[in-house]
Amino acid sequence: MIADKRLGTETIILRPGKVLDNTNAHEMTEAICGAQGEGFKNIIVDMDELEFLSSAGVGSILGTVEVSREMGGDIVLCGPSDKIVHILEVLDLCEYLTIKSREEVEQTYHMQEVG
Amino acid sequence: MSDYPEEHGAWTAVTDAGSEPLERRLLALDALSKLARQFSDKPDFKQLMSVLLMTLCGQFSVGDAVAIVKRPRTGTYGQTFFATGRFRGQANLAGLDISSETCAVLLCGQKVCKLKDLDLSDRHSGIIPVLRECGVSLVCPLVHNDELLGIIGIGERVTGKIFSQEDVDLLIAVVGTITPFLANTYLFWEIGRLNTYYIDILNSVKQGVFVFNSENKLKKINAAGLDILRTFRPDTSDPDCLHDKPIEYLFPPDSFGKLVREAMTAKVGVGSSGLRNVAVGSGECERIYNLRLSESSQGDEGGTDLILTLDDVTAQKESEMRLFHLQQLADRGVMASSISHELRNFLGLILGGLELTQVAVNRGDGDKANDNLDRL
Repeated sequence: MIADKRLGTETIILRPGKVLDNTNAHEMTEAICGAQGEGFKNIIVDMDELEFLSSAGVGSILGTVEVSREMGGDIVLCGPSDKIVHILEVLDLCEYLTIKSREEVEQTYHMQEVG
Repeated sequence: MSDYPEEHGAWTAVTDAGSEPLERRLLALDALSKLARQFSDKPDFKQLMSVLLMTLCGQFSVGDAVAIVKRPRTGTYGQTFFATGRFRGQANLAGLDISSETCAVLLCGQKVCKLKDLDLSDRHSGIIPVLRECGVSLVCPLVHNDELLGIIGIGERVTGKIFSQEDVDLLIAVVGTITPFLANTYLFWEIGRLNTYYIDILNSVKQGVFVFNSENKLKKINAAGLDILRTFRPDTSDPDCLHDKPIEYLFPPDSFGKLVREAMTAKVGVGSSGLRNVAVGSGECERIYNLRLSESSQGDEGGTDLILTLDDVTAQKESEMRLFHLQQLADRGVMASSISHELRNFLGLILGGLELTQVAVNRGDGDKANDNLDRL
């Protein structure tokens, strides 16, 4: 189950929990597509608790990121751990995906607190 | 060593591998082993394909992936289309005819085709021009036991980088590993879909058919069965809501008491399958059904299913009753005419005797008249 928190009408935070892999990748895709369908152009994937990210988890984001960018927003990976960042480096995705620290996200989206 | 759970072991190794190609292979291995573990217990072909495409997207850094899987020796009607990203809305991809002929280019020795490298001037290029036009970059046939099961294609890399030979090798390894598993799960899926065809057949039957599991909970119901329930409970909802409902819920004892008793008796083995008439309901809403009960050992986990068939014979029974009443009337008529015939004979004798007596009186023969009256 992907938890969400709406911040106004343009930004939404999605929380995959501790793992984003085969078991919940399709839920993440559905959550992102649903949010895009509702008009949320900025989707923040809160990776604060995320301990494990599989290829399927990465794929669930890659297949949807262009839609957000075409809407004038983005999918932002917020606060991933070093190990998650390393996986993204191995897959050569650190430049393509928008990865921000918690502080950067709070600053960019003018939020007092993302969580 | 990492303190992550054991099931993430291969992933943990990735962080220690140190070489990017090796790390990517380990990631792929990890993803495939998890796919196999996840779906070997509970084969769900649609979800497997969805997760596989997402895995390929992550593994090869692409946003778009497509898979078209088909039943052997069928046309486009036997195909199933799966896609992620932009390929989702591509009607051209969804309508591709996957066959040994149209995929000949993919089947001639190369396990993965880089579409940019293919010569489209060949008139036997089949589906390749459409794939390329739709943005598919690498395509790979899914071949199992020398039979073409389908194709998998991925789009351009999101980073804009071109696919290297290492990528091609990795895709060959991934597809080679996953294809037998896909074929197996696909087989289970096809078997599961037979249930749908089974219901189609049941729906074409005029009798109401109810299939209950070993716990007397509804597994299947056909359209005629639903109509029967609605006769007594107009608020009966669609079949999905009735699924898993106990037999007593579907057939309330006040209307269906005898029917449920019959069914339960058959279930515990006291009675036997066969045809019998059961009147259900009361007052204005009384119907007569031919009830047939049979058991099937194809139930869940070795249990026995109870198949209950109800054929509404109310109209037929009413006709039979009308015929019976007419027959009774006819019998009474025959009886009445017979009685009147007998009476007429008897009366004829009396009248004849009276006439002879009258003749004797007119002649003044008193003795003869007295004799006649004595005989009467």
